[in-house]
Amino acid sequence: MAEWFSALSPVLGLALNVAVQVATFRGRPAIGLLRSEYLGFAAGLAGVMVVAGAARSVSSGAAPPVDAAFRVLLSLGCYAALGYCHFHFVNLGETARRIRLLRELHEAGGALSHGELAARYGAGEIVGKRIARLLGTGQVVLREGRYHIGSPLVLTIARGMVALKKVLLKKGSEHER
Amino acid sequence: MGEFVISAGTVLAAFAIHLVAWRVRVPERQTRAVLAIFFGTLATALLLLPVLAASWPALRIPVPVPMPSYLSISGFVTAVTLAYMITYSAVEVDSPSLVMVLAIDRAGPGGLPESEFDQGMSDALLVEPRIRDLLRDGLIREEDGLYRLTPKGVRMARLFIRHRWLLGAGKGG
Repeated sequence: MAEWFSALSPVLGLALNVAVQVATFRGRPAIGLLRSEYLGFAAGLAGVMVVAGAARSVSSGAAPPVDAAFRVLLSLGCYAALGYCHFHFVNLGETARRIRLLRELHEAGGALSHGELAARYGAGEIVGKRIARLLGTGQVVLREGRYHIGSPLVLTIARGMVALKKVLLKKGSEHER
Repeated sequence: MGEFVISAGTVLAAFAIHLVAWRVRVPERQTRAVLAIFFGTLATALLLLPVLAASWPALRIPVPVPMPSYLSISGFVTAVTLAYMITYSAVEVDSPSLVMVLAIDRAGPGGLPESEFDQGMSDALLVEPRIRDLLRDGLIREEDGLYRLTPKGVRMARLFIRHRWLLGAGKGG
């Protein structure tokens, strides 16, 4: 029985993560989407540790401590990956262009011409929203009419993605030939 | 310990197959191919698990292999596969935010003038490739000069509309 709880603990943790994130953001929108995601992740992590730890104590003696420790590690790794998926699912709804285009088509009754679609969601809005987010989070700063890097976090992620593209696709951008 | 070793080994093997396959030829539908490789490797690992457990006692997996062991390995590999699939979408497609940050960084210590920032950020670069993705993935189709949602596209749109409603959030994008 303890093994079943240990194996299922990442799913229980994800459920707790989603519930806390939604409740926090709905209850206090001022907290912001990102902080609500961090809180949800932390709550789920605590849940996994409690369930996996309890499963370990119930089965103590049945398995060597090293095996039990690896089982907890596997549960935590599985939860971390599920939490990462949830984080990105929330962010897809917030930032993904493909999702926004689908929404626009859905709201228009399912069909739009190219011009109508571009008028509803175009480069101006895409750039405007993103620069506002980058300025709002301090990743980019505006001084005397010029943009500068404010914090190296997003720049480091961008460089990492370019490196991964070069390893996998042998090019640094989808627009390169 | 055995479940951990098998899980980590399965993910590493799948990633190695993925790298080798991409060196030979990058597939047209990349995400689908990534999923096929990772889940194919998982299925192979699960089929071989009783043999591995019996022939490699150091793994300390009981024989017959208990169901929770299968569940732990499947859960971990599935979660990591989905996490990688999401990350891979940023490899396949340029994120506008990351492109902007790289452009600012390339401008050097003097910074990038606001007036130059919008240059090159056109619908052709930011919107049209994503419309082509939706067509390729069967989420929309082009008919009589109109883009129309397919049933798959409607399901995807509703999923996110409901989730955003649950959060009490706006349109996004």
